[in-house]
Amino acid sequence: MPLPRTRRATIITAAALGIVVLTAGALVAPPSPRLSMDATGDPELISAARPLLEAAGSLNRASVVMVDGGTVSMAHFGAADDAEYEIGSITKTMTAALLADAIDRGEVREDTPVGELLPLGDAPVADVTLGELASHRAGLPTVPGDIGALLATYGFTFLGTDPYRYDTEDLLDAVSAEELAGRGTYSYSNMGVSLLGQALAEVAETTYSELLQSRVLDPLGMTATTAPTRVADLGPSAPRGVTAGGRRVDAWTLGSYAPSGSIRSTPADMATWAAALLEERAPGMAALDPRWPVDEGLTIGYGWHVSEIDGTTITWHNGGTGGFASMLALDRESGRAAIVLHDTATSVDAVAVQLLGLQGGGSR
Amino acid sequence: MSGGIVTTVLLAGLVLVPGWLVVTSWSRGRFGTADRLAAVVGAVEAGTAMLLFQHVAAASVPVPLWLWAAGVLLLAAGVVGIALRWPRLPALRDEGKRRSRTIGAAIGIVVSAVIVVLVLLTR
Repeated sequence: MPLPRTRRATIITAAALGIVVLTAGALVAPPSPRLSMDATGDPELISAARPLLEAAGSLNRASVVMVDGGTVSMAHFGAADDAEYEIGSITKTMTAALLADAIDRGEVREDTPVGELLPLGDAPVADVTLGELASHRAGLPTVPGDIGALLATYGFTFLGTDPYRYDTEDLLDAVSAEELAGRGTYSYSNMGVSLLGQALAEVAETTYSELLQSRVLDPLGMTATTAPTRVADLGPSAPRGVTAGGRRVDAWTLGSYAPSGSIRSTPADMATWAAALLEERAPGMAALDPRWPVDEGLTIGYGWHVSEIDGTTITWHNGGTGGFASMLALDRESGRAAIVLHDTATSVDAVAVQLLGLQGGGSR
Repeated sequence: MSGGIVTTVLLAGLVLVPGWLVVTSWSRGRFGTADRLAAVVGAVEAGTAMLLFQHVAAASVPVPLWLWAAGVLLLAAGVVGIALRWPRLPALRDEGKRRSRTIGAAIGIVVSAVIVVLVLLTR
């Protein structure tokens, strides 16, 4: 018996709506990028790096740099020697170099209270030394604990925006409001290193970006490396990375937090930085010296972490922004370095450590 | 609550929310949708919630494609169920209730539309 016309119309409508939902669902399906198959560079390094990157869940573009006794080899996946990456907290190694260099120049001391350099009044943080700021032992949190920071975090989560939109005045207000919980013990702090960078810039009567340019980047010829503090500082084709879930997010320029993580660099320039560190000709080499124990097998210098991994001493720093991840690991004794740059916010710490022939991947 | 738990809840929501829509749209019992307005709002909000959950979860972890596909299939099943029941679903008879519910539904749909636009613009 044929269906009544109205019933037939209902079924057709229902089926059509079902198809519309399925089609819309397919159109807005979650992104699922994969590591680029466009590999260039050293064939051996490509072979060694690809499985490590894939195991780390790497997506999109990545570059791997190995420095061994003055020889540099690179492998790129969807990238090139001059590809631009946000290096995130590897920036702190250059801010630390600025501190050690300023000490060498007699401008500051490790125990100079930051309140002597910046207008912090009688806030508890004024008494904190530059050495404490450089080694995450100032008792400062990583970001402010106020409502603005919370909203900025939500802004990143929902809209992919840079959560560090603070000017120097905001930074000084935020650190002045802190009570310094756990001063003297290691507690990783972007706020502390940012304050350090701004203090060093103040002493040199310039901006952090210009100080970095004149004292680290220009002397080493790192011409493609910059430390932007505003979106306007970025080039028109500045790449944006993706989250671990593959979502495209804004570039992070970090405002007054630039000294803790705003540097954008290339594999070629990072190879230059690593080679200069291994050959001990980089400015502020004293920054790498391990100074304060953190826990078993981990010591902190100015910014740099020093770990014992499989009996080898590794001096390292990793980096992460909203859309990028990076790792720089130095085996100073054997004169080798591994650098991994990645335009996805998925950790590549273990990749760098394993490329140095070590199995441990623990880092922070 | 740690980020890991939040992410797990969001991923679970990708199938639980449309799953509940399937229950309400196909059930004639106590869980069944009571009227047309509730059915439409339920479907719109389920779709919006899925998009939002996927968007937020993808800020920190990859969203498995199979999980999304399962959620979309459930959402489609829920919408089909509503469409099939539509001729027999009553409109709200109480004038006062209908006005207030319509206003509430309109606000819900506007909020959903804003969320959908934001999510699609920032993908």
